[in-house]
Amino acid sequence: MSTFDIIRTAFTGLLAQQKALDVTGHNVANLATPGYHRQEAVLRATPPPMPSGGSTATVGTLVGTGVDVVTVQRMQDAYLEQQVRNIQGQNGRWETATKTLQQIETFLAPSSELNLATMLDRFFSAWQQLSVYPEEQGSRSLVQGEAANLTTTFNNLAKQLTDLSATMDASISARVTRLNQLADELAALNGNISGVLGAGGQANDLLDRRDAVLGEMATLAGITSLSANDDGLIINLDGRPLVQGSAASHLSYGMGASGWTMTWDDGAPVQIRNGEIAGLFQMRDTVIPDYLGQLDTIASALVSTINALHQTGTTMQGTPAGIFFDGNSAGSIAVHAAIAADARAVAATRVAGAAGDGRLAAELALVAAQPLIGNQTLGQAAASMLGQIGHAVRGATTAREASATLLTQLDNQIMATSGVNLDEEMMNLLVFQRAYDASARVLTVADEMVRTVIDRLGVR
Amino acid sequence: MRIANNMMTGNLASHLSRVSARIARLQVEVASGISLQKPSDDPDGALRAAMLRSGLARTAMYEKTVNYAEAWLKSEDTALDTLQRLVREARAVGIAAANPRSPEERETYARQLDQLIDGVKQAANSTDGVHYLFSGFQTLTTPFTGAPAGIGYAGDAGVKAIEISEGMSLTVNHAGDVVFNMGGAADAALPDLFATLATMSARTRAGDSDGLQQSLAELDQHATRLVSVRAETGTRLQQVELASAHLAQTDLVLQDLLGSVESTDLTEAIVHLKEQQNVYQAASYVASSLMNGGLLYWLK
Repeated sequence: MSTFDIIRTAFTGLLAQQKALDVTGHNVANLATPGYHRQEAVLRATPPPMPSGGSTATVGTLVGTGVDVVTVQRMQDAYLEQQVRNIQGQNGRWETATKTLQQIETFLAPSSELNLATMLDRFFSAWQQLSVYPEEQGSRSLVQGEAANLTTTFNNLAKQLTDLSATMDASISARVTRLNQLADELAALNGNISGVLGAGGQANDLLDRRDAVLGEMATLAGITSLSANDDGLIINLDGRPLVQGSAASHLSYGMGASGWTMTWDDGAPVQIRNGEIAGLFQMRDTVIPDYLGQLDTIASALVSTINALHQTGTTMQGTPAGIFFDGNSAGSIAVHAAIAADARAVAATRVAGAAGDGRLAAELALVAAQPLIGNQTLGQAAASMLGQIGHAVRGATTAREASATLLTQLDNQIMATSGVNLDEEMMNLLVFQRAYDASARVLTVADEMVRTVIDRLGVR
Repeated sequence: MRIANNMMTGNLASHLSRVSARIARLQVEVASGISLQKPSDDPDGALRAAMLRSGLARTAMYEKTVNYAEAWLKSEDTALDTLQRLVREARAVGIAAANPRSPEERETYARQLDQLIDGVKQAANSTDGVHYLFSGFQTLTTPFTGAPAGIGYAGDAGVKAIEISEGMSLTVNHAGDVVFNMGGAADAALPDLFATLATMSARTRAGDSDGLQQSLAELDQHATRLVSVRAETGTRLQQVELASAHLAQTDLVLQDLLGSVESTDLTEAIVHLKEQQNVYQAASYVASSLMNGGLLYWLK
């Protein structure tokens, strides 16, 4: 072992500590970077030089040759991160469901006092009023006005829900575009990562970026399975690879024969079962049509019952009365043109010329109490929609809170492995700095040793 | 467990935002006095509130109806009272005229009777302000017209029944044909009230004492019928008052129930609000002191 070996050993110390300090600096710099995984310089003592064919017996006691940074490790809990992606999908799904349901709730109950049930009450109260004051044109105008309010309420609700459904299409479309971009980015990252790894390099920060992309994809579409080997990651969506190594497939969302549909770019159908996109599909295909259907049921029961009765009456002028409502759904219901034009066309009686006879109006007012939809009255059916949307919003909110809480917990557990702790980094900073100083000191000592040999023992 | 700095700040931020959300929510509850802002606040409560509100709307509707019925019945009662008084006067005049009188006296009595006919006609054409009380469904048509000798009925036999509470229908009017026996609607053997009075007047002028006795007997029958008609009106008025009291009671009960479903319990809400504000302050303090200290601060 030569004196110069000490210099070499000290030099490896300097290099290794410097590298370790670099890593610490990188960690501190990324303290607040989302998705950053803490990195750690893995130090290993380098073994003594072993002469070929030699043994401890022949070469004597061997001392190691210093230190080396074997690798810069990325601290990651792969299992937890896999799990978190699943939850991200659920969370994304409940998030969109909650937002949409809350919108529907606002439509159905703009305030606690203003809703379809109230409008129905007012409509039937107007008929009752007419049954008491059949002589007054004012009573007829009241019926006419409340009928217009009621039909407007129906029309608005139908339009709001239909518009919301169209918004779902736009949102899905935007998310599909984003998903395709992410698939491309992921494929590119896969390529880069395998290139870097193939050249023996460290791809830690590329891996961070890839995890972030995966997280976003999970939130969007709930990626169901993925086989993680570092350079050839395969992302499966609905049982088919979306990204395979550096090759990405695309999804397309467009107007097909049966409305807006989602397919692979080769035309094969795809069904997304989790994530925001699944939530949007559920709203568009199940939830919104359900509420629209209930509104239509109420509207058509109202139209047919009121029309059938009204047609048996006579108008204020003594002519046979026509229908009261046009249309047969929440979207199309309207006050019949003749009645909208002239309140006198509202019939309160079946007897021509009986000004004080409000018996038909009384019968019409009693429609409010008839069980027209199952065993529910129209008003009860409208009110039970409020209960239904209330429960739906509650359920979705609870599910979203649960998934968000779970997500936070998992994130915390992941952070326990991957997060940066400043105290720890400060300690490392201290240790590596001292080690660096000490290595420099060893170098000085070695230098002095060499000088001793040269100055004192040297040939003069 | 290893703690990362991001964990601490992230958790703290999420707690702070949760507490802020609760504070905002409680502030709205206290400010508006309504704890049931959206159906999702209490889905079953929202359903109940909608039903209760519907019940309140119906109560308000029936209250209007009841007021209308009450006004109508009171008007009718007043008109019937007047009629009874007029018939009594006519009877007194008839009895006086039945004694032997001079032609001048008979003429005076006859004139009195003619005036009474006019009075009866006026009372028979009474309104509740706008609508004729005794014209059946023809409430806008003056029911009794014509000269005292030949007053005809222009109304119909319409019986006006209105709902004064859930499933309870009440007849409010008496059609004029029954009240005045027009066309023998109440008693086919009896001439109508106006004809009876007109005949009485003619018999007075003619000094037909026997005839007057018969007229007086007819008048008695009319008086008896008016009594029973008025008694019926009285009964209806009682029913209406009962219904009105019942509605007021129902209204109170429903208001109370609605209040318990959707109103804010102020004491509770304010206590909660105070609590949450304290939590918020504490959390803010923790946040402000979180980044002080640590090795970074002490290692120089």
